[in-house]
Amino acid sequence: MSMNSFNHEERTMLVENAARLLAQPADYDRWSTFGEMGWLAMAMPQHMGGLQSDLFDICLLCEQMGRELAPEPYLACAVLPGACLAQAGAQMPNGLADELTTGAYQLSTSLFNLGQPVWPQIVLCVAQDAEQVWVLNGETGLVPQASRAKAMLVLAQRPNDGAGLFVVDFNAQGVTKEQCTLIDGSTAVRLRLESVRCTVPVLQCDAGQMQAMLAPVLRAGVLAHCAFTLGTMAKALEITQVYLNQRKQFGQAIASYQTIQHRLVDLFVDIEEARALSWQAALAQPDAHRNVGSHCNTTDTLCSAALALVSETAAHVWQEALQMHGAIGMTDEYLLGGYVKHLALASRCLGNHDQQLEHLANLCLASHYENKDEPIA
Amino acid sequence: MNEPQDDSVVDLQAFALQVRQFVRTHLPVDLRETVRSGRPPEREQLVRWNEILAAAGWLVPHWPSQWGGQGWPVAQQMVFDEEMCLNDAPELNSVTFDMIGPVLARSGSPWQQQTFLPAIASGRQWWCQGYSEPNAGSDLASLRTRAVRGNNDNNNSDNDFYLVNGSKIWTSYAQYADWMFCLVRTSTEGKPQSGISFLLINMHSPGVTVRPIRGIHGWDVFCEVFLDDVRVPLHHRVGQENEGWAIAKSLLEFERLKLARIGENKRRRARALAAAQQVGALGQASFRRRYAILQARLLALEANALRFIARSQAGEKIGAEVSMLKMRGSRLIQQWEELIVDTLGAHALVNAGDMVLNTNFDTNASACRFLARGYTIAGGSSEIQHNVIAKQVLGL
Repeated sequence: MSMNSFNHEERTMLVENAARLLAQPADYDRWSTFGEMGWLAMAMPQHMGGLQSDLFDICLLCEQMGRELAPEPYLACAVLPGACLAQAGAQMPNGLADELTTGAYQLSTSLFNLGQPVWPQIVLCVAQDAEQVWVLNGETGLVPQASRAKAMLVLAQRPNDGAGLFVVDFNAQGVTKEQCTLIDGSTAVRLRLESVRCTVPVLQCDAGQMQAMLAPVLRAGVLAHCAFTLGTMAKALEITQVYLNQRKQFGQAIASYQTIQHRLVDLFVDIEEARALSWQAALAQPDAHRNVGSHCNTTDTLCSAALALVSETAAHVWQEALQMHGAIGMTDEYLLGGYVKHLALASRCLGNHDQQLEHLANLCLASHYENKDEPIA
Repeated sequence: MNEPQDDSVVDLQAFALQVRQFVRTHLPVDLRETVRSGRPPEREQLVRWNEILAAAGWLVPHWPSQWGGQGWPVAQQMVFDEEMCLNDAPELNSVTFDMIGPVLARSGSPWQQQTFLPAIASGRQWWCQGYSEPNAGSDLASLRTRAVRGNNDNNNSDNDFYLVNGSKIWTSYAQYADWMFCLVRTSTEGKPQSGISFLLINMHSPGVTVRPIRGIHGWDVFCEVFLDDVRVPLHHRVGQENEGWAIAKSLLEFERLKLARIGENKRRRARALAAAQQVGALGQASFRRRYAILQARLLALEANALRFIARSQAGEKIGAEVSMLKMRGSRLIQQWEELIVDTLGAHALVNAGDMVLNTNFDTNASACRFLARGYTIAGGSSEIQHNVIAKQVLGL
């Protein structure tokens, strides 16, 4: 799979352009602007007219979106569907690929569900009727950022047989859409499918290959989520530092007190470490065993560790930022409020801390079950 | 931000294998057992290992090539350290090999370099660091050990010497040391930092008394060093008189990336896994989650260190932000030690050598855990590292 890697100047330009555009108020439909900027093409494969950018470049863009709390569903409706379509053999119905990259057609996926770990995936049932038409039944999880999409790529499986990703149009017969608003003001939808007739899957595989097929897709989604969250954390810390330099108590700026300084340093270092790990995970080549001599630095481990650490750090950052602000940090109207609420959501939206740690432990400790008699290290 | 080239990965893998085989073949059995059981090695054991490494050219690979260095890239040095740690080799005395050696190679006089560098590189000469005093810890510049010039023969300035009086404390392994590099006050004028000189003191000189301090771990690691009318020849001073502070600070700049202590962290990770296997805790949720978060922090520490290495190899100057590696690497070692102690339960609460339980358990776990508390105190406490980042990085 050939990747289109940005050079240093292109990266700088991407970040600067994103910072400039995203800092403006999002009071109009920016999705087509995202398309004009080329951002919607970044995750799309080249054979569908996409740029198929490095995951790292996509993450740099997501970090900028996180800094400005961009409300657009970039992760749900650009990164995840793009990564699905970038899998070998994927095909979109005629014309739709172009509309995805321009922003005319918004497509979501059933892969990320609110409050659920990325594994195991919710898989719906599919069967072929007598006329060889694919018929889907079941219920998706609660999918964030999908309410304005026109369709969803839904993961479904035939009993004891192959699995596939099917395009389910929200207006198709048999589709019921439920919608709710989340704590940060964003939305999520759940689809209920009753005998929904679909065209051929955009991607299909044998039952045993599903995990392998989805691994790079979920990895892209998780690390884009980490990058977005890192941007939000970094900006929350900056907002806090500015405020603490202005706010005076006992005759001096409260940032001059050592207890405050040390807590700011802890947050700063937490974020630096989480970013270093996320970037390493985004740059790692699949299945390359980096860092010779250690026993579990696979791509999956790095990705799982990044999610666990970013989530933990996100929770720590919003709690500390709020506490150091004092009462103003509790105020909905104040700038920090949006950051607090988004971080509270982001730290739990892909499973709680225990679930994330258990996933990482499974990856790290599995080999020690297999080789019980081998001396460790 | 680039991936390492494929060929360099292969080279490092081959190198790691080479180091692993070397350590497994050449590390003396008694020393390996001492390290494995978490006991402090004797000087004689350590010197023997130093000599084995010196013979292989691996004792001072990070020094300038003129003095025996190998010119390894930082990544190779890290692989080396890691393999040493993971195969039960003891931590080498960093005061000797990472501090005074590089300082003398850069700032020492030709006489000092020719006298000391080959002796250190042979592995037989042991150094200690005379910095802290009873009233000068984190506030090091307030040190009071005095050095006053004297002369036996007014007609010959070659006989000039310093007469040193005072005391040092928390001097690690002073009882093993042949030499001490020492900060002394040569002037009380101006700022406290501007009256300090950097002296090399022979520990066998008349007037030097060493008293080990028993630690809470039961080991004699730290010492008090008393200096009573100790004569130190003038040519044992490094740099100019009253300009020792800059040298003391420059010494902290060497091997800063090593302060992440990634190899030492991985040594603890392996011990935590071994402990869990022994007591059957690998499947327990509490162990698994604690292990997982520490593993995530270790991967982050390593990723962060690699980022600094990449910057330094690209010729970028590394600033005060590198303090975060020391701050987090030392804390993480303590967190692994706590996991080991908690995993072993009662086995970690019985005094070593007083074993009523299965003797195969790591009965020195508590001692190791107490010893590890020193990592966040020595070499600039974590509080000092916070101050440095607050001031120099965040601009507070």
